[in-house]
This record gives sequence, structure tokens and C-alpha cells, in this order.
Amino acid sequence: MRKWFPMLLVLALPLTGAAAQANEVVALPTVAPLQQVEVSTAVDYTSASLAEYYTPGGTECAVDEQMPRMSAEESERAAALLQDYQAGERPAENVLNKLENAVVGVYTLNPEDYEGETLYTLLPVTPLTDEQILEVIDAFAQCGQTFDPDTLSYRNCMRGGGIEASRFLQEEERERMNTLTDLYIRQGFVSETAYTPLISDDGLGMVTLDPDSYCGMEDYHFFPCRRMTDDELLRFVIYTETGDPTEYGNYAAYEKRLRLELSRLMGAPLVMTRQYEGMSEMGDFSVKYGDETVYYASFQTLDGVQYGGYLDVETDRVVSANLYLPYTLQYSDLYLDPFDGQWLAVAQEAVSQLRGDGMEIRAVESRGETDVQDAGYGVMVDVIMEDGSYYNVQIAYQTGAVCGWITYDTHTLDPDQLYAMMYE
Amino acid sequence: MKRLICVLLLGLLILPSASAGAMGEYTLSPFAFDTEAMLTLAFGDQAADAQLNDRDYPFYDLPNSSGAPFCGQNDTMGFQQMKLTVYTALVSTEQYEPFIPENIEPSGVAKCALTPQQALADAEAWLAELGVTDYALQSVTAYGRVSKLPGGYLLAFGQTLDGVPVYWAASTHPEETYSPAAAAQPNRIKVVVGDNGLILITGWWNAFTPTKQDAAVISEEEAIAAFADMGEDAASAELCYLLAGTQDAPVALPAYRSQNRFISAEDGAVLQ
Repeated sequence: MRKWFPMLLVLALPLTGAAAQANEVVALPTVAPLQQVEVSTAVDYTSASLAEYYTPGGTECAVDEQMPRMSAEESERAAALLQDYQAGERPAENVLNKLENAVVGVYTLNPEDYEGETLYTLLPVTPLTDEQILEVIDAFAQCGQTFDPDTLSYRNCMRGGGIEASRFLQEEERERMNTLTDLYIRQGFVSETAYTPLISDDGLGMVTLDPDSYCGMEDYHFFPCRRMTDDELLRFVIYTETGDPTEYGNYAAYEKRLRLELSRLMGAPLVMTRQYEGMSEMGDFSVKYGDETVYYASFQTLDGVQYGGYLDVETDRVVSANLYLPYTLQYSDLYLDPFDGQWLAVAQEAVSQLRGDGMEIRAVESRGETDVQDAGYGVMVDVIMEDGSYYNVQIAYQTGAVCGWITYDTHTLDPDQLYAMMYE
Repeated sequence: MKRLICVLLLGLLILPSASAGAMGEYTLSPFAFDTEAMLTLAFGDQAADAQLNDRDYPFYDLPNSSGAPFCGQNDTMGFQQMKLTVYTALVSTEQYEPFIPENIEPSGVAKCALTPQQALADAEAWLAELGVTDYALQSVTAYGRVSKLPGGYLLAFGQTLDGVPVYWAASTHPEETYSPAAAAQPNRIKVVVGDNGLILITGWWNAFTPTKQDAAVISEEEAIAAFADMGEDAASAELCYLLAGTQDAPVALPAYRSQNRFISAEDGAVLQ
């Protein structure tokens, strides 16, 4: 019987292949491990999670100017302006369902998607003018409602960029969006229904904001108070994805190349989960670089170490990379000499351990004292390789060991450019 | 001869405890820098023209001027610390950049006529004029690597008490600090100097009043053993003072340090 068993297995292999073909299973064009979707049971699709954020005195609460309400003075004016409106005064602009560059906006909602709310109001961080209050009154009136500032709350209002969406996205939704982003970019999956920014048609929506009125925030998202379907999330992913679709077909090859280079340059393991990816000009990330077109991606290992890299798609070379070693250090008040030779030895050893191709180190130089976030101070050391590329290594005084970021770069900042940035 | 050896051995035994006998416990108060010296350093021969600016603490500038030169002593920051600020006119006229990594001279020698030795001598003389005597040099940073920027030196001095360093406890520096008054600042003074003289002096400093003197402290070997009991594999332990307590009533406690862990130098109890 034992002799027959392996033979049966061998015979069975083509059968599984045939079954796979019949089901049109296509291998993923990527070397990345498939992402595991972990569905958490602790989900809350309601707007209740915002309540804590808007509770005064909470650990992380909105400032007064960003509370979802009108001030007492604005409310008083609103009462008078309501009378003016009823007497026939009208605003110059209609802000009902204003989707672009909104300073003030009022949006119609499907009550079944928004816990019974029918209108949502966006207000700027700045004090409201009479005209802006009139715009709100007018939008409410168009929907057959009389505006009452006392009814504003986090369930139906956001002010001044206090928060970026009508409810918090849940972790399971983020996980699904990651998978859907992969399916869209790598597999070409699309939704049959296009995303529309208007909220009332399907419950999802997006408004672009006037950043000056919302403390720099550029977009506001409407997420219905229910579990969003995969298709809804896919529509949202496609609408908000900023990458160049003509490059999507190359992502798998770029990622493979980047992973291999991160292994050679930064000692990255093969088993890492990709966290995000995209394409851009390198100069958008660092003033050391110009208009090189790069594919960038970030990865995380099972033990929380993060790797990132930027692949110049023209030269097929990694121009910049980084490694983040997580640390849990307390603040330390210790200050040592950043030019002591011991730091050079620590940095050199660290780079020698990372580097997979044995390239010679040309020089090691201290760059002086540095602030180690939340952990006091330390030293920055440059380790310069034979080819002129270099690593920047951060060492904490308190442990004498590398912690936090190690970066790799192939370009240095031109001193004249640095001077011009500072003084010209 | 035997008697001589016994005396020598006794002397060796006494030495550590004699050194330890200088330790004590202290309360903290804002250090009062010499005001006349501060004014002279900031304004030079215009010191007599300096006027008090309208602030919660003594802050001086020149009439009808904006920006440097100015100086002040700010004791409103909490933890009984005094913040010293001396900005000379060179702050406005020189492009000094000792805090930019690209501008650091790793050789330790700046491209200027001033030598690191002279920079140190000058800095120590200015500290003496300000009434600062208990300190240790922490580092000398040479800068001016960027060709268009002038060279100079940044010297950092850490405060000492009874000849040993002082360190603020981690508890005095919470991670999420929204108010600068909520965190103790390191007791260190930075002096920036170039060929044209003093550019600036900034730092935080405390005065210490003893509440307990001649505290007996354990030996370094005992401290290392105590650290080992805590799971810290310490090759050495540094005698120091740990500055702990509250923002209003900080205290200096004799301690041994290994990395960022501290034990009481009196009984080896864990402090941090």
C-alpha cells in the first residue's frame, strides 16, 4: 500500500491543475506573500466612536474652534439671519451638496445610512460670516428644513478639520481595502458601479475642502454607519488611488527588484508584508534628489521591523532606502560626546551586518548630536561606501546601540543648494 | 613597615567613603546667573543701554531694536529651572549653523582661525563670569562644512553637583508633552563661538540647597551587584544625582546610573 501512495499523489497532481484551470485561477504576478485578512469582531460602524474625540478634557479631544457647533455669538446671529432669510434675503452661493473646495457645505444623507440624520454640515475653523450662516440656512431650507444651530453635533457636523471622516474606518475595513487595492492594481479588478462623490446616491461620498478653512485638511469622507461592502470599498479605492494606471502592470516586477535590493543593501528578509506602494518623483520625498521616477514601497517583518525603498525605474537602481528598528526606550537625560570613536565603530559594525554584498566602507563620520524621539539624545553617524553611497545610522546614548532609523542614500545634498534653501 | 602597610590599606578603605561622604540630598531652585555679566556678554559696550522688556521674567534688549542682541533669565518654565538666553549681535550678522548635520565638521576642527582649545578657554571664561562653576564639558562640535557658511564651535557643558553629573528622571519628561513647562529640560549650557567672538549662550541650570549632608553611599561594586539583581548587566556604574520629584518641588537624590536605570546610592533601591 505504501508503494502505491506516492504514485497516487503523482497521478493526482495533474487533476488539481485541471481543476484550477477549470476555475480560472490565475497565479498572482507578485513575489509578495498573500495578505491575510483578519476580521476583527470589535467593530463599530456607528458614529459613536467620535463622541470621545469631541468630549472636552479627553485624552485626545478637538480644540474649541473645531467642535461641531456654532459659537453662542454665531447662533445668535443665525437666529436673526433666519428671520432675514424668511423675509426674502438669499445668499450669493448655493452650498447644498457642494463637492469641491468647500468652505461651508450642507449635504443630503440617506437617513438609513446615517443613523436617522438627513443633513450634514461642514463649517470652517474661522468665525462664520453672516453670508456663510445664510448659506447654511438656505441649504437647509432647500431640503424643507429650518436650520437650528442647537441640533448640530458630531453626528451631523464637522468643523475646521477636527476629524477627516463622518466615522472612523474600522480595522477590518482597512484590511479589506489593502486587499482590494492589491486586486485593483495587480489584478485589474474594477467595480461595475463607478464611485461618485455625492453622498445621497449610495451612502459614500467625498468633499474636497478649502484647506485654509480646515486647518490644512484637503478632503472629507462620508462613510455610512454600517459595514461597507467589498464593492463599495473597491469603488472608494479606485476613486482615491493616485497612482499611474499605465504603470500598474509593472508593479510586481518593481516590487521584486526592490525586495532583492533591500535584502542586499539593508539586510531585509524575504518574508515581509507590503504596507503600501506607489510611484512618484524622487524629489517629492527628499530635496537631495531630482525628477527621477521611482517606485516606492514599505514593508514590515513579522517582528515589526520596517523597511522602505525607492527604485529608480529608469536605471533599475535603488536610490534610497530605510530601515526602522522599533524601540521602547524611556526618556534619558544622558549626553555624551558625539565625536567619540566608539560611535563610529558601532555604526560601521551595524552597516557591515546589513550589507549583503561585502562592499568596502570608505569612511565613517560623526554628524553630531541628534534627538532620538521620546528617548533623549544620541548621535548620527554617516557610513560612506566605496561607491559613494552612504548610510546614516542613529545611535542612542542611553544604550550605545543603533535604534530607530537607518537610511541609505545615493545622493547627497549639494551644499550650494542647501545654502540657497536657507538664505536665498 | 607592617604599620605603614596597614595605614595605607586603611587609607584605601577610607577613600571611597570619603568621596561618598560628599554626597547629600538637595532641593532645587532657579540658578541666578550674574546679571551684569549677562548684559555685558549680550550687548558689549552697549550694555548700559539695555532695557527691560515687558515680560514675566527679566528680559533685556536695546531700545528700538527687534531681534538680537537680547538676553534674559526665565524662571517660569517649571522644575525650578532657570533658562539663560544670551544672543549677541552676531546672531543677526553671522550665518552660524551648528545644528545642521551637513554643516558639521567630523574632523573636530572648524574652518576658522579660532582653535577648539581657544573656543573652550573662551567659553569657560564666559561661564565663570556668569557665575557658573559646577560643570563638565560634554562635547565640542565644529561646524562650517558648507563652503558659504562661516566656521565656528558649539560647546556643550553639563551641570555637576558635588563633582558628579545630574540627570533628570524620565518621569519629569513625559512622552506626550504639549506644554513646554510640563517637561524638565536638560541641565546643560550651549555656547556658540566663532572668529568674531561669542554668538550665543543658551541653557537651563539649577541651584541646589542641601537638605541632607554627608550621606553614606554604597560602593560601585555594590551598585553593580544591585543592578545585576534588577537584571541589568552593568560593567560599571556611574555615581551621579537623579533629579526627580514634581514640577514644583524637584529634588536631587544621590544615585548610581547604568544606561538609563538608576538606583539609590544610599541603599541600592531602584529609582528608575
